[in-house]
Amino acid sequence: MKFVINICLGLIFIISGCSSQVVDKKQYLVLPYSSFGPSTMSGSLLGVEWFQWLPHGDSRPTKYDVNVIIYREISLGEVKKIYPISQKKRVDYRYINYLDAVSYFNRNIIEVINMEQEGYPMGALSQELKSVKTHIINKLGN
Amino acid sequence: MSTISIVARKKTLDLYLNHQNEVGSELKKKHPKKYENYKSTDCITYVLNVLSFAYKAVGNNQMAKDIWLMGKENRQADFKGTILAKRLVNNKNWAGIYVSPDSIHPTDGDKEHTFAAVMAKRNCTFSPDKVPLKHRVVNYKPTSKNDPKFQSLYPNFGTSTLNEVDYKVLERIPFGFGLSRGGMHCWVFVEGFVYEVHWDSVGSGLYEKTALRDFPWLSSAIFVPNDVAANLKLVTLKCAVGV
Repeated sequence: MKFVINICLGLIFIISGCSSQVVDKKQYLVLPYSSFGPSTMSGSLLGVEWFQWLPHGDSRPTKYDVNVIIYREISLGEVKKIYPISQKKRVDYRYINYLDAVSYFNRNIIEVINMEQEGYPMGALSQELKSVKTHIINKLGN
Repeated sequence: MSTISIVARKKTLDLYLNHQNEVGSELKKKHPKKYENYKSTDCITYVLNVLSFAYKAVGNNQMAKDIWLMGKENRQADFKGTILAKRLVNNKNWAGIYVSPDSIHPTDGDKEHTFAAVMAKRNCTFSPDKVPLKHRVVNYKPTSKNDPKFQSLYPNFGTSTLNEVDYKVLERIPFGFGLSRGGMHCWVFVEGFVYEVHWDSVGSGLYEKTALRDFPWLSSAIFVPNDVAANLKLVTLKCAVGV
């Protein structure tokens, strides 16, 4: 009996592991809001940095747990079903199409490099943006 | 005759000192029965109460009414402090001032502040909503080189030079409306101090007054009405010249 249970558990583990990998690789990717760079840069694509159901944020500096779903070859409706926004559970997502995400990174990497060359303090920002873009492409394809 | 700034200053202080009948909006939502006889308020409501009162007092009844809707991009949209600021600047000749205690080395180690400071200087805009800015007052409380956050972001950029001259100009501004972190928080500014409402409080914790140099939100923007904007003794940003 124990042997049968172990086999079943093993199969469930393999099946669930494989299927989540396939879905994750081909269709969508979850990233924190902050991976898109400073909110002054990303806000026009992602929307507000605080929970979207609030008229504004807390009066004390607060980090809100907002995640971004980048999706490709799957409809927005399906993504929303998999990752629903829930005010009650304080779960907030922003849904960004793969092409919009990649073009956002392409545009801003160039802009940050330009600002760096103009002498503005940009630190490692262009590298950070490049590495997130690479991660997206690796996961969702080129 | 009183100007909009003078009346707004008076109303700001009046509400700060007298708010026995008010409660933070989030607290009221949690305990509606307990606070049923209290008026709900929060950071943006404080700003709008002051502005509406001030416009009415100077005889502009239309603006006193319109101000409650000016922050909505359309009928369905949420009210946003950044949209209100944008319209006050573009349509009512208000002026935007970007402020930051240290434009390069924020004490919270968040690169958002430094990036916002660059956008202010380079593009004359604040927040993703691109609210126009005319001035920039920075480095009124430079971060020490020994601060661990100084090292974490841009250690190759030296210590910022203390700028007390421009801060003194801010201390003479009778009234302004402030926004932090792209509009996440709104507040009122009077003579160097931030006056704000905490939406989860009541009584003595509901309103708070903090010197701008000690304000924990760090980088922000202050918008001042046209009666003061025209005579501000601050350098106009290059990108704002002729705009």
